[in-house]
Amino acid sequence: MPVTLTSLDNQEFKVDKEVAERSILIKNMIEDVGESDAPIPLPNVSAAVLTKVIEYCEHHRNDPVQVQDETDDPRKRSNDIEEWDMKFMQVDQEMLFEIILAANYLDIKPLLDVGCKTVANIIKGKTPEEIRKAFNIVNDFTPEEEAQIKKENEWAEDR
Amino acid sequence: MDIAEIQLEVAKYLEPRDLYICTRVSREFYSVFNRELYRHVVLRSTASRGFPLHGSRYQLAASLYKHRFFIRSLSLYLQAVQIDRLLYDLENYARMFDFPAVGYNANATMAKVTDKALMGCHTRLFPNVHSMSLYVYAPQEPQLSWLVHCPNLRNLSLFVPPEAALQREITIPPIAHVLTLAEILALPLWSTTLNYLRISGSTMDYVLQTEILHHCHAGNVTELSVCPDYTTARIFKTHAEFRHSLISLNVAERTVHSWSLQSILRTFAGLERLSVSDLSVYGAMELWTWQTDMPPEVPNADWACTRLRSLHIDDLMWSSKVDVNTNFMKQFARLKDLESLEIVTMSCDDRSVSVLHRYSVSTPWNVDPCDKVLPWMRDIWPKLRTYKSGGWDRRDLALRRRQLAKINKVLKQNAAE
Repeated sequence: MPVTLTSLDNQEFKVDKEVAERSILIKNMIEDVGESDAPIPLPNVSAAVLTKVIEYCEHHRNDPVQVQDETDDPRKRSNDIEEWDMKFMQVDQEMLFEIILAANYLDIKPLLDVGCKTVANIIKGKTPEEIRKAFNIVNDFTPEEEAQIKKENEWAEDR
Repeated sequence: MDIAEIQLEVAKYLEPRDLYICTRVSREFYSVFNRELYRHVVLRSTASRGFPLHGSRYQLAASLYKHRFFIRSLSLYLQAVQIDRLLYDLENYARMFDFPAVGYNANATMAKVTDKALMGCHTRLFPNVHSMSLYVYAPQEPQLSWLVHCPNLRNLSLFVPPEAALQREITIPPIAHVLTLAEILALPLWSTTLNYLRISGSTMDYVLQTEILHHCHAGNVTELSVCPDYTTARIFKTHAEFRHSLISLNVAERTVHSWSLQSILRTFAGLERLSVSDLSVYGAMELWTWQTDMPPEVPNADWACTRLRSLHIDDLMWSSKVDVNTNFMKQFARLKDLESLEIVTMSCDDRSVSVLHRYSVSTPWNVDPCDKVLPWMRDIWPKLRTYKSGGWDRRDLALRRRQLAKINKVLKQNAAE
């Protein structure tokens, strides 16, 4: 049975219920409301972003439900992105952050993870200056502050 | 979710080196990634056994405090000079710290840094300490005076290495505010908060041990971990007041020959949990008479300690004599309240192998086959819920694990009924 989703800019998207329910938010809404033809409003997601999110959910419609991996050391790996996901995430930075925000809002954990992994991979191995350049960030530290932080955390350099 | 929250999510995929680089990008990045950097270190360090800090690593510890990390368990192994510097930094940060567990290696040179300024630091650091390990060379010397700053101490481990008694060069200068042993023992913590004491090493003299144990008894100390020697055994034998106050006892680091299981179980009527490292059945039942300074046990005397709920033995060494083992089992079967039994390994000498194999057919010590074991165990220990055993044969651990799982499942069902 199809479900209708309405974006921030009032565009309607008809998707299979199974696809829409990759979003825990939507799944809960459908459960709360029951069987209904009324469109589900998603006021935090633009049409452009929703199109991408639906594309992701379509592709992963048969994936098993992700189980939370609680280990002593919660450091996560970022080098295990599937090829399709990697290509899917080849978007401009603004869209990348919009997808992450939408994934968080719609409660789609795998999409949120893949978005954060992509950003982490952009950061890895870069110098502070290269990170500033990559994300268009202004260095607002005073030279003294910079020296202090370097001194305070330099133990981490060899770890 | 805002940008900072995205950064925090992203930070979970970064290693310390990249987190460190991120702290240097901008103020916004610093506030997010710096916290994640220290969280990572704390998680890593608490997941392992302690976190050795050496060289310039004291900075790390200081930074942890500065950023007000809630550290549940962190062991610091520091040289005196680093302690000095660390405490100086802490004092400078002048923050409130939540530092409930400190593994503290206070070596002989430690005393050199206990000047007035540093003692001031201690007063800031230690009110929140609930648990502390002290590695001391001479327990009567100033190191113990630190305890005065731990009004909330509940768990104290004293490690007294054998060299302590032999140390001839004690060059600790007299310090005005250092407490005497009597003053230390008069501290309120003994009678209020402290409920666990570990005494390690065998060089503490009779008077000192007796004084400490008397204070434990007078207060709330119900859990004791000792490495028993003749002195400890004699104290427990001659001071009846300990017999009812102790709930948990860990007899560590030594084969229970000189201080037999029989004696322990007869002495401590209120004991509910007992852990011994090495137990010799032969020693437990027979070697008692070897101790010339102690009265011999009455043969086949009943164990007083029938309230025991948990028993852990690291290595159980069986006798080569069937009657000794049988006698031991008869006593053992009297522990009707036993809920948990764990025997990590069992051993025997060559002479006893055939005897043991013959004997074990009718005991739980051999869990194979488990259908024979279960009725036996349930009959002897009706409340038993957990049974773990490394057993004799380590060749087929997978099979043993399956059998143990099966046994425990039935035991739990049985207990639930």
